[in-house]
Amino acid sequence: MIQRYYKVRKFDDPDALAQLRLIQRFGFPELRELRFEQVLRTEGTDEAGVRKLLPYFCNPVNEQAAVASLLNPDCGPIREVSYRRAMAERQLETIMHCANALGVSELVYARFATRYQFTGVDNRQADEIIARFFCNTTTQQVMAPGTEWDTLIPQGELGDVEHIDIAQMTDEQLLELSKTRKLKMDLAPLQALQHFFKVEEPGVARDGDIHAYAALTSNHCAHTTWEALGLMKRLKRATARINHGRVLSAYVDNAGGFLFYGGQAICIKGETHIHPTFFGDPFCGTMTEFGGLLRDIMGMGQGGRPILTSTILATVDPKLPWEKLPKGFTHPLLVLQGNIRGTHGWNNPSGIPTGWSQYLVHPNNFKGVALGQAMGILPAKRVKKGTPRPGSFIVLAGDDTGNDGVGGATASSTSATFETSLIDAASVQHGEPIMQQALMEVTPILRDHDCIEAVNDCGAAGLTSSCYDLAQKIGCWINLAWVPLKCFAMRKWEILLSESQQRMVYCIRPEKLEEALAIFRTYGVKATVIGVFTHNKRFQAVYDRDVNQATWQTNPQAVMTGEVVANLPCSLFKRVPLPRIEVREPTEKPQPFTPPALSTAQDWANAIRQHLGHYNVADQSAAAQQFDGTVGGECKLHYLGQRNMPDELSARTPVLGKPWTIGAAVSVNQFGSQIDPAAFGRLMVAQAGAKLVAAGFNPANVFLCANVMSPEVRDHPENAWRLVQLVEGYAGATEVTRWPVISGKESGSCTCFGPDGTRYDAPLTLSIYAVSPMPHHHRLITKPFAHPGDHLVLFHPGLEQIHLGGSVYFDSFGQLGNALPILDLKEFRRGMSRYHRLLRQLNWSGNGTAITARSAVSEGGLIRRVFEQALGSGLGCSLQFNFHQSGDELASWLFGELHGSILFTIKPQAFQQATWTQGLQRRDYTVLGQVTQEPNLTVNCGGTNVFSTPINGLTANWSQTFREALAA
Amino acid sequence: MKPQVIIPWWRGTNCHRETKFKFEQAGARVDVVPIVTLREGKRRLSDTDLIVFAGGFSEGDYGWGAGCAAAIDLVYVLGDQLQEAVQRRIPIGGFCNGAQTMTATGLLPSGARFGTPAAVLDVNLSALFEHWVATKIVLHDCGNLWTRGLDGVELITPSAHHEGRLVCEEPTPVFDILGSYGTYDGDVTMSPNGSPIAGIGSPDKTRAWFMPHPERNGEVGLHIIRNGVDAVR
Repeated sequence: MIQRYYKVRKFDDPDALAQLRLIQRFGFPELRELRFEQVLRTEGTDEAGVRKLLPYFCNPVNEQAAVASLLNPDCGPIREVSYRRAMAERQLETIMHCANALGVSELVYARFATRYQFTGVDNRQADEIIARFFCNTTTQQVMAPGTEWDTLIPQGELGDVEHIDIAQMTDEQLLELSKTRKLKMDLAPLQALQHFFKVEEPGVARDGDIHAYAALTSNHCAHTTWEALGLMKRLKRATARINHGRVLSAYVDNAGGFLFYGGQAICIKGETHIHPTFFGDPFCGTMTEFGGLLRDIMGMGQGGRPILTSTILATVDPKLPWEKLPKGFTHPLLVLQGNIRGTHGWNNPSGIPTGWSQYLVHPNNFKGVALGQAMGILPAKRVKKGTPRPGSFIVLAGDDTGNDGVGGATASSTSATFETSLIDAASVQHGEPIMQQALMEVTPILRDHDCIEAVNDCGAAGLTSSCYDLAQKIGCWINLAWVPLKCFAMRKWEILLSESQQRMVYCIRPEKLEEALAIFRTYGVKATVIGVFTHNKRFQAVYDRDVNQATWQTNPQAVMTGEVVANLPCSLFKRVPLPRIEVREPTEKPQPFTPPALSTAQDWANAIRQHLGHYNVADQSAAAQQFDGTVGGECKLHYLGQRNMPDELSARTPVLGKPWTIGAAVSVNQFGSQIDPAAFGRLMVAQAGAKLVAAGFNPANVFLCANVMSPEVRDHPENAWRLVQLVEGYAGATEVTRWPVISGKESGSCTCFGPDGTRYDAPLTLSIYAVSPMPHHHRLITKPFAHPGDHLVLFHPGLEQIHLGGSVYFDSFGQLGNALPILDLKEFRRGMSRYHRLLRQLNWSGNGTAITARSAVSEGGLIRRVFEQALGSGLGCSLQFNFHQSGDELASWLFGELHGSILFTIKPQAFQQATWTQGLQRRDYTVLGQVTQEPNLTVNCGGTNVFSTPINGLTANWSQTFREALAA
Repeated sequence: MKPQVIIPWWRGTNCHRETKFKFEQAGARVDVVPIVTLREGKRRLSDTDLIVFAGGFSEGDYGWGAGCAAAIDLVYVLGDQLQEAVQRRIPIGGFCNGAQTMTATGLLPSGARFGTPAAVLDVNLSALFEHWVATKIVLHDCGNLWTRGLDGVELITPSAHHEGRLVCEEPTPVFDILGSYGTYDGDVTMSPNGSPIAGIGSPDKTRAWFMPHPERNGEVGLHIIRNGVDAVR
């Protein structure tokens, strides 16, 4: 017998009101009111029993509950959305516990659903709203009015293993197989698999064999594009050449690590999640991105603890008119909103601060950039990747396995089409951050109890990759019948491939198993033995319910009984045929551009106002304020300062009670790669590092994580050329700066096709995540101006020529230009060391603090930085240029993106002593002016005033652009 | 002997590290105790000098919302221990999700009977999660042990929540205001959630909660925490 209870809010409903406004803006202005009603269904209880559950279901202060719906049908169409019955209720564990606590022992199952009532629209419009905003059909369904299930318990059957005679197939049939099974495989790997079943182990393939091979040899898992172009080798070679003494782990684990202080190591990782964020589900895609980042940290060495994340999203302008959106594409506003919601939806409950957020636009970003980075900490002695031994148990811990997240690795390895959001929806994970947070808590405890021999995540390719990665030298055996499921209508290979960010695989020795399981239990984490590491060097998965788990655990062996789902030699996965990729330099060159001359003071003020209102450099605090950036209690420098002044880095002290500080800064850009990708790569390295050095971090200890997002290169030789140039550019730059790349992630899937076949290549994008340790947070130099009268100095070592190509300023005119700023990296490197010595001399030698503020110049140029420093301090500044007024030259100085340059202020007394200049090369700095008490921005050239404008007068566009876009 | 503090931990509790650290700085011995350990009776909630509920998203804030699932544990599984703690005047504090949990249990403000909420920390008026790095709270000394000597003192500290707007049942339950947003009288324009009230205390002066995070603050936040520890020293 199914019992029901309904509830609505008694008073206002801010959530419903926010959704109403969103839906009204998205094409349903006639919708006048939106009401939510929650439904609780129970099985096994009588009405008295379900009433006892009310303390869990209904807060009597602001909600009212009843056994019948509280919505008035006359007020408009009502639609009810619930999870499909094959899906387990995500709250089930909590509600069963609470039911027990409330004395409802007879409860068998419970489910929640939401009813939506729309006033002002008709039935057809209600259906459209539901489909667009409230129902993800992969896992949810709209309940037809009057229908009721006879049972709430998940129903469904596990499909049988299919056998496929791949050995006998023609090439056409192989390609058809790839298409129908969504393997996204090229012919060469298909033929390699065919050869295995034809020659090496003649026989018929199982569906598990094929899907496991497809996933593990996909571009996502095997980096086939980068391997084919030699880019992985190039990066590894650069890091090896640098041979930095602090690097503990690079290119061998889920993340890269370096030595911090007190025997601790810091690890870093970057992650792209482009496919599900742009074509699928922006919210779940972003949740997957952050879940993926954090589990990579947990899977580092013998288990790391995440401490910081960052997020970057590059879309088409969210104000894009709906009619200009190609059919089947997700509107950029929905991508932006979903991304912001997903970022706080994962990071906030996880208790991991978001230390940086940045949003960019470009007209080709229909499949743009969704990127995150994460940092973690673990004891240095635990940083090496663990090695399982035969006989160790495979323990699966965390969330139950479902049919979401199946095929994510393959789906994210290719271009998208207008149909992707429908066809590949099942590849999107439905995350549960609370379970991952429990895993984050328990993993370091298990590690410190010596329970973890090795650990890995169930991200891309699920159990397949987690177990294969650990077992590739010895082999493993898994019984899929022991995997706890949340969906009961799956095929067995799907259990093997199902991805989740809140499931981890732990390799645990038999003698530590009992202790480990007790720890898992104490922290509320479900953990199950699902197999064993073997010594037969095979990847084996069976489904056999008849194997008694308790008996088997006394003598764990591979038992090839029941249904065999996969049985392949581990060596097969290493034989990945690489694609042949043509590389060709583009014949079309970028064109020069001359912006309109600025002559009057008003021209300048207007130009600066417009410039500061560019989406990429505008105030983006409307997003940042939704992310908890201070959780953990270790925040020393938040990237959002007074009056929403954006900082350029975040800094934390990750060991509570210790002054040891870690700083993180990001550079990311989409313009420069279209002009000169190699030079662009160099500039991005310089920019990221300079942000840290400016704040006091030692240029001898900067470590990088590089993320490259490229459009498809396998069918586009010019895209391939740009990618190769870019990697050479930044790899070479790291060798000069001696800032090793120790981790990263590449994605070559930023291409999509509209229904008319139009190809959209997002611009080649590079993001450098720079991280550096500092012995004491007292050394941090802050950004806002400190005192009126302080002198402003622009330190620009290695800057040879200022060009406006690839700048935000040019983009405001819809132009790119044809030349990037030119930076001599060797001089830049020496300059960073000189600046650091200057800080030692003037700030850290015990004679007070002479350098009072800093900022590293990047996108938006010098004018953006002085504006931000003035805004954050409530002060102003006066800049003097020695040249006589020339619109061109002044615009170059103010709007030029002098990547690698540092703007700092110095107290008058120290400035006048002139000892500060002794360690610097004269050509490396320009004295620009002074900080003023009046909150004005004044610029003089050759002794003549060009313009003077109040800082407050410049904020209008700056503060509005992003907020307006978010509410477009 | 240092006073003993217990911080119960549910899945989703995520501010326990910094809370533990601050109470240790204030001179306490602190144990973060997983709720399973309490449920199984391996530790008793009342066998301590001080109880603190830390911030986070306890059990995902499933059920009707913030603090609900944790409150059911506290009322229906550990109720006798919690009532014993209240009767023994063991100081209890809560920050953010801890405040939500105390409200959901009816610990503060007190409901008509034990386990019945008399108020709710409702969704912010913006309907958004609001992280304010430097929220200004003006403290009130109403004799509550947690804010003793801090009347009129400004606490500038982060607040980070989606549900922090205090909405009370009628008639309004009795409690002391211990912290107001922006000004002594409270200024909703300086509030992240639409309520002028940032923290409240119990009439018996032993229990307090704050929606913002004193544990993420320096001296003033530590002063509040030290007050709690000193009261049982």
